[in-house]
Amino acid sequence: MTDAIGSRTDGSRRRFALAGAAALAVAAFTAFGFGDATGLLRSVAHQVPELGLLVLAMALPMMAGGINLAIVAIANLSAVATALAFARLGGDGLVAPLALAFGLAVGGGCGALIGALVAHARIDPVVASLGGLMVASGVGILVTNGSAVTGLPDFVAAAADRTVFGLPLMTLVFLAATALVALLVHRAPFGRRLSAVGHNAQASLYSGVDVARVHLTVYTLSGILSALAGLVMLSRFNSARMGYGDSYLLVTLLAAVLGGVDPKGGRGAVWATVAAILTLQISASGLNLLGASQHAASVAWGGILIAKLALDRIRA
Amino acid sequence: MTLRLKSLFAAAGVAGLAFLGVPSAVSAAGAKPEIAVVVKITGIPWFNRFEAGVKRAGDQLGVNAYQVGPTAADPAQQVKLIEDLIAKKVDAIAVVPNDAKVLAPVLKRAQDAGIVVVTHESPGQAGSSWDLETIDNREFATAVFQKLADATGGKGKFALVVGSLTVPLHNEWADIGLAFLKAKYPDLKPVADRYPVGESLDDSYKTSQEILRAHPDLKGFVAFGSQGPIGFARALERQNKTTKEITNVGNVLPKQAAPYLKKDQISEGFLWDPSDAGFGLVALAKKVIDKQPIETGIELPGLGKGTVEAAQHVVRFKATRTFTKENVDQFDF
Amino acid sequence: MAESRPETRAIRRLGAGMALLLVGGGLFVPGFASTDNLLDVVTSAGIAGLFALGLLMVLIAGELDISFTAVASIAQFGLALLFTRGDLGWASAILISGGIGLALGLVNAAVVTWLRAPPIITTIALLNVYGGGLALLSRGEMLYDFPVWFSDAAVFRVFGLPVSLQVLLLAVATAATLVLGRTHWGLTLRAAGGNREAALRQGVGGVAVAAFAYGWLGFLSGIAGLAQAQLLQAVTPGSLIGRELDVVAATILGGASLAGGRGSVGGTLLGVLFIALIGNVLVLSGLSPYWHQAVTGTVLIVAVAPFLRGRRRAAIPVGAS
Repeated sequence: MTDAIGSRTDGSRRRFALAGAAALAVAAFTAFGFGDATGLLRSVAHQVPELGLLVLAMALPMMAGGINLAIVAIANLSAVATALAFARLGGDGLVAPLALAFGLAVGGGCGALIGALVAHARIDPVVASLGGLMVASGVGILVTNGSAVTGLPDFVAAAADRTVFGLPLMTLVFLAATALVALLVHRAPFGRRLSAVGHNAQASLYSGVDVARVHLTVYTLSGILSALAGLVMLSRFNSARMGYGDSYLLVTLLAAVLGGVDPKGGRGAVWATVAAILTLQISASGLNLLGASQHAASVAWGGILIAKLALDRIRA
Repeated sequence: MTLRLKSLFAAAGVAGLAFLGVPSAVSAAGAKPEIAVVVKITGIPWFNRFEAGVKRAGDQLGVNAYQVGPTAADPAQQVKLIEDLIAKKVDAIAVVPNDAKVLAPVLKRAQDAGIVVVTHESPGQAGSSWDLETIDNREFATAVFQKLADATGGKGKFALVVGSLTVPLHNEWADIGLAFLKAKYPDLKPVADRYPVGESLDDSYKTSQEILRAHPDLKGFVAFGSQGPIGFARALERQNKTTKEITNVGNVLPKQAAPYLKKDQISEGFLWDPSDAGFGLVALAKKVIDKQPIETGIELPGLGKGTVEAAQHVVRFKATRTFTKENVDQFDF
Repeated sequence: MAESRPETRAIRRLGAGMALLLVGGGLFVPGFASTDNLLDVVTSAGIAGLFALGLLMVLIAGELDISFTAVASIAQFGLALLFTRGDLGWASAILISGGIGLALGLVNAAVVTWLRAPPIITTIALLNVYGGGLALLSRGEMLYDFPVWFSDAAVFRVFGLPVSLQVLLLAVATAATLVLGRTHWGLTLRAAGGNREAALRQGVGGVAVAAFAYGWLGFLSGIAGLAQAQLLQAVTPGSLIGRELDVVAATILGGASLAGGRGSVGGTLLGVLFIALIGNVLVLSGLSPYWHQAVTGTVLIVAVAPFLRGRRRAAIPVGAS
């Protein structure tokens, strides 16, 4: 009951699901054959950081037995906040770190608000994050009138193409965030509490776990990770607007579940979800290049999610 | 833990190796240039009609032209599609952008990779060598508002609808039209700022009803976004009114508007044929690939002769179509 | 009933908010206080109302479904396709769209109960499968040009009697009230929702409850699809998709709880009307329509938060599955 998250997981189950996704990717590749493999890798590498951060933002609340429907809205609101700060203050000297911190703080604040609703007002996470989603996107649309915030300093867009030690900067940011989350979930005492709350909140309350605090922490972290994803999008799109990436919700859920996060809470492996989003993105690109309709892709994602849940059910 | 991770990365790795090992089948597919058209959203009537033009161009011009698009009008999804097309090393990418700013970096990357980039409905797009416009915006908007002025006698209140506040084209038309009215018909006044409901029949219908309620003395309705006039027509129908009382103009798909034009619930519709645009976009891309000169007098099938506006990299045609109850049945889209 | 207290409180709160809106709107917003306008609000809230009354049953049973907009889209698309093939009557139109909805609702019930994963996740997946499938099959082509009997005036016809959307909504509301208040089923539903664990152990009973709740929602979604097609005289595949969360918000505003067991028909209708009224006041007063979402979200949070806090002693509804 109080094991750290991940140590109880059934590896073969997860291996199986991922092998399925990988097989899909392989099928796509062999059927098509790409002109340039490095080009494809670069294409995927460009997309993975923002999606991966959103997957982490989704996976954490799920491990605690909840969900955060507001991740994309929070990401955009944070990006808008940072963009507005740049627009107001310019991009010199200390402004850049301040603007970035402002965006992260907005994201963390939104997350904390949802967390407080879940933890203290004891509202179901679906409702709490739905309210958060409406408020975040409503506020974002009001301050921007629904249009994109542009006119960012040059280094914002340049950051998307920046490499450090041969690796894209955004990939490094993503890997660092993943490592931190993995450390927290798998190695730190917090992971044990998170697992306990996810398995059975009531029982862990009686065994002395500060459940409210775990929820608050989880949703605040989820908000910060969403904000980080928003900042990556800000750089990649060189602008911020409510509505970017609205369609990411399903794919983040799918990656989290494929990566072995138990949707009922209590279980999850951080690195496996990262592998899942990688595989998903490679297969998505494969489908794109095969000329499959994007609607077919959303049917496939939904179908795979249900199939994975069914598989878990059979093996349970 | 380690075992699990190993197997995961093995799975991902297999996927990676699989395509590393596959020789490039595409580039060997033949000398036909590959032109990928990326539209705003896939699976809506407008872009289905657009796709018909793209396919026709593929057949007639001897190119491998096809159309892709996201499931929602989300610029982030368009970026992903374009990134994948860069990886595929197509010869040209022709885009109808959801958001000019968002696409600028990825389009530049496409150009850096030696891919020809052209756009539609995005004048001055960064990262694109040419932009195709099928109509003259000033002429188009003026025609719509002229019809409004003629039908209302140049006096009274009217409501103005756009697709959304973030569609630059619609708002440009609205701006042109409002300036035109101010100069020539100062007694024709909008009841409020523009309502952003023109792309959804549901929303435009609901808002139309509310506008009719709030302004019983309304004289006219102008909508950009193909569902706007339809929604207003439906609201008129519900109140047993016709265009004799309230003028209803805007852009519509002729087939959908036909019954309302005939019942006098839409006064006149304005549009161009999306398949002409689809055809023209591929033809333009092919000309750029072939390094043919792009200059005023350029001729594209279906669109006629165009003019080049060098500053904005725009190739402009004047292919506005007007639909009335008499001619609407000639159009098959 | 002891547990009806939170519902009553929700209704009282909503009633007060509504009164405020009505008085404020009547005083300050031109064109608001006309019968015609208020009737329009009811009509425009009608579709959402049908969805919400369907969802209410699912929430009371302790379940959740957000795929209903896609179910309605499929039902109305199927209906519109059949219109192009031959002339149906009102009765068959209702049977067909309701039947398609019911069938998909039962599929949802089967999938959700068998998978035992949180229904929000399962039905997000189903929403995408249904919506994507419909988009693939229909290619997004809009269907219109319906038979004359279908477009004539703003009415349904049931057994030859004209029925407006408002009347239909009232009829459904009455049916729901009867089911919940007067039948054994209503009690079983509430009991199942109030204690999911026990309901699951009941086995067959649990399955039947789920089948009833999801089936009811599916059927009403089909009818909502029909109503929207009638209202607009056109079917755009997927035009309803994307509104599911607003309906969830309205239903919860009306006093239903995701924890199950709670919710009332009156509260649900008030919740839907309240959100529609906010939109109406915003449009009529000429304020930016973009306020709508921010206001609705805030109202949702404010309404739900204090309301749940002092609720029951049972510790944590979250993740306690």
